[in-house]
Amino acid sequence: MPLLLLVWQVAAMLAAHRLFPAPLAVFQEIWMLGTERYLFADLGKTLGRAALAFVAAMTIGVLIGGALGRARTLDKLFSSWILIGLNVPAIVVAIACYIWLGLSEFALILAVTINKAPLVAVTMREGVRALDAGLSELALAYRVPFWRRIRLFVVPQLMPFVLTAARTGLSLIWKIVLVFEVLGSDGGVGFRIGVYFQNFDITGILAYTLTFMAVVIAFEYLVMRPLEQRILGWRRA
Amino acid sequence: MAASIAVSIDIRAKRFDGATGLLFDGLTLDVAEGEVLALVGPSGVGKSTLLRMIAGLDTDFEGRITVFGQGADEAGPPGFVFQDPRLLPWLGAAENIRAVSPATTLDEAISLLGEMGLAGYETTLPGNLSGGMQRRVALARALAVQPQLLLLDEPFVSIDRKLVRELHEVIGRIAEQRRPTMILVSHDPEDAARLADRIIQLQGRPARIIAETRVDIARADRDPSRVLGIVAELEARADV
Repeated sequence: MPLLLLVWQVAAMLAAHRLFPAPLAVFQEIWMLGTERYLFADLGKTLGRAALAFVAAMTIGVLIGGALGRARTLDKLFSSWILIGLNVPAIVVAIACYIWLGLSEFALILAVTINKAPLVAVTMREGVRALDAGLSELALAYRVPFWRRIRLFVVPQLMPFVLTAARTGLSLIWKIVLVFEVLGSDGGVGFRIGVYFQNFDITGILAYTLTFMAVVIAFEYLVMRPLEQRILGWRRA
Repeated sequence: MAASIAVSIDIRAKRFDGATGLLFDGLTLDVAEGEVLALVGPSGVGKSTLLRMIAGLDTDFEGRITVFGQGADEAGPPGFVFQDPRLLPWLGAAENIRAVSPATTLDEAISLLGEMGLAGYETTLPGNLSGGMQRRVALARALAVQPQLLLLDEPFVSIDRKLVRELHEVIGRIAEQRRPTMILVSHDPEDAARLADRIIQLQGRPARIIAETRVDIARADRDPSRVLGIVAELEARADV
């Protein structure tokens, strides 16, 4: 990280142009935006949208993926739908949602959810298909009650897939929420970057981008990795 | 007084899964309470399938199997030791036992592990246990349900002779001290000769019982020469 800052500083000094601000200028902008303007309010809005879309996409994707993994007939019927869902351009979904539902919070979150859910569904479908038949047979032989079977035998086997879906999902959601906010919203990191873009204010763009990236990295190190360690620690045994 | 029947098998027909032909075409067999019965025969003859049917895991056949007077799939859980230990890799040894037997307390699980020579390994994950230790955890797990019926499906396959001897001792001890009805499936007649009270040899397709051998020597007295004698007898019958 210090090396990156150093390279940036040197490059900014060599360029010596208002469209290539030095790191210090960007950090000063972050401080100013954080203390006097809307930085944290925008960040809160974007994170709220990302969180809602994430929960919705994970819930829908896990349910659909689980059903497709269990029932071959359903998988045959709907696998082409999933394929379409995976490949339809995100921007098209967003525009369609905004046109049909208006420039609303709901439309934005729905568009993000529609983009993300197929990826979760595919990951979970593979997870369900990979369930160990031997362990299922063990549970049946010992007449383990249904919910205990789900809790102790099935969920731990699916957790690596859930975490993979969550991680890839988050990286996708962070990005598309911002794009969709640029397209149509009344605030948020993407919206503000869009405004700065219209004013060619690269310092503001970088200030928002850096802050947002800091949050994403903090989430990875403070939430995702400890969670992964806690849930999947047994895999190192 | 004759011992009562623990398992009664009356299979009229059992087809192969996904193949034509019959695996069993008329097979009747009773197992007495407290008896150690061994089913031996070549690979693919249907021994493991028969064990799964007794456990109530495979109900797709014509006929009836009862376990202590109830249908195989209605009876309480047997203790079942599979070919591979099938431990839940995310749970420690004691929790693996409790996973299939919620009524077992942690202390009871620890005590069972102690009985298997695994004291101190209660929280060890299966990935950190040797193959032999994992099999002993699987045995402890089978005992946790306090089974009247213990089913052992090739528990000695793919392990070295030293470990096989160790497990023979453990299972022999279970047979003597706890006296569950035990059905042991093995392709190796020596396992049967060391442990069983009665040995059923299956052969052919559809499988049929080609010989039934009672072993009247106490398990403790089955030294290598006596075991070899029983094995030779079994092999002679299989060649007929």
